[in-house]
Amino acid sequence: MATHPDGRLPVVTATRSLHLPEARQEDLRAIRAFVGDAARSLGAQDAVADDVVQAVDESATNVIRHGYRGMPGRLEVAVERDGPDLIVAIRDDAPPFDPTDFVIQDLDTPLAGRRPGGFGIHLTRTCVDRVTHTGRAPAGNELILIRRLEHPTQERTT
Amino acid sequence: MNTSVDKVTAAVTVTVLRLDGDLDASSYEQLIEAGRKAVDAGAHHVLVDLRKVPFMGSSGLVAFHTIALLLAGEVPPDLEGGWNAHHAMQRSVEAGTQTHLQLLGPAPSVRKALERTGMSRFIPIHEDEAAAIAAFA
Repeated sequence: MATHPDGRLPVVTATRSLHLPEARQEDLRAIRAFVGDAARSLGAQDAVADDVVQAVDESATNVIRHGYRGMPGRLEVAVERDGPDLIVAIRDDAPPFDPTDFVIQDLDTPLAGRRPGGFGIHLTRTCVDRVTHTGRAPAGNELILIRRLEHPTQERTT
Repeated sequence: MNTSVDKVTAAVTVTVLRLDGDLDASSYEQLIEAGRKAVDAGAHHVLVDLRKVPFMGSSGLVAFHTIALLLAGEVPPDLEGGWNAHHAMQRSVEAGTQTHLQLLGPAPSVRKALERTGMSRFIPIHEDEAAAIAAFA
């Protein structure tokens, strides 16, 4: 069970989890399908489920592609409903990497002035309401993504 | 993801890359390769048909960048470098919205990803294929 970043005990009404002992890029489609189904089964409308799927895909891609450098590695995804929130926990054994440290690019700045890369992290952060990271030494990460179920999505550009 | 290639000749000849399936980290290299082959064959105008793409990750943006670079005569970085190649579009962006690469019919979630990353500001997006082809003229 994921602990809410506010420290309160989650009022979890249901949990769905997926364990991949040797996750690869080819598993991303199955991960997306799992997260989309889980989010909808826990009460998310399509637009919210799509946002959560996008955020998880970007995070899982970063783990598989950059954390594990393309080698198979453990990946666990758990989706919970905590009252008005969906909480997704992504756990891995890759070297610690905190995406919340990443500075979001200014979308009003032409690409010429932008820091290269990072659109995956940017998308993750714009698709959910809160992202927290906990690293473990010497390896391992837990990323918690929180998305309110009733939140409007159209204006979520930053 | 499957990729097929059409050529449509109107005012100019447009190479249409039609995608079928998710465009993600496991498939974006296919799109880059299709774009590379098109440019090698002399293409100057490329339309990527996204109408059958239900999902696109940020790796799809890397593919669009790389193809736009190829069309601009730039030498794109290798694929790993391509992951961080967003800045390399600066010449086209500084010169205004590039028009050699255009997109057709993104699903709502795909369009959202294009808008949230600012990519929709410099890659024209169309809903109608005839209008898209005409926009290259």
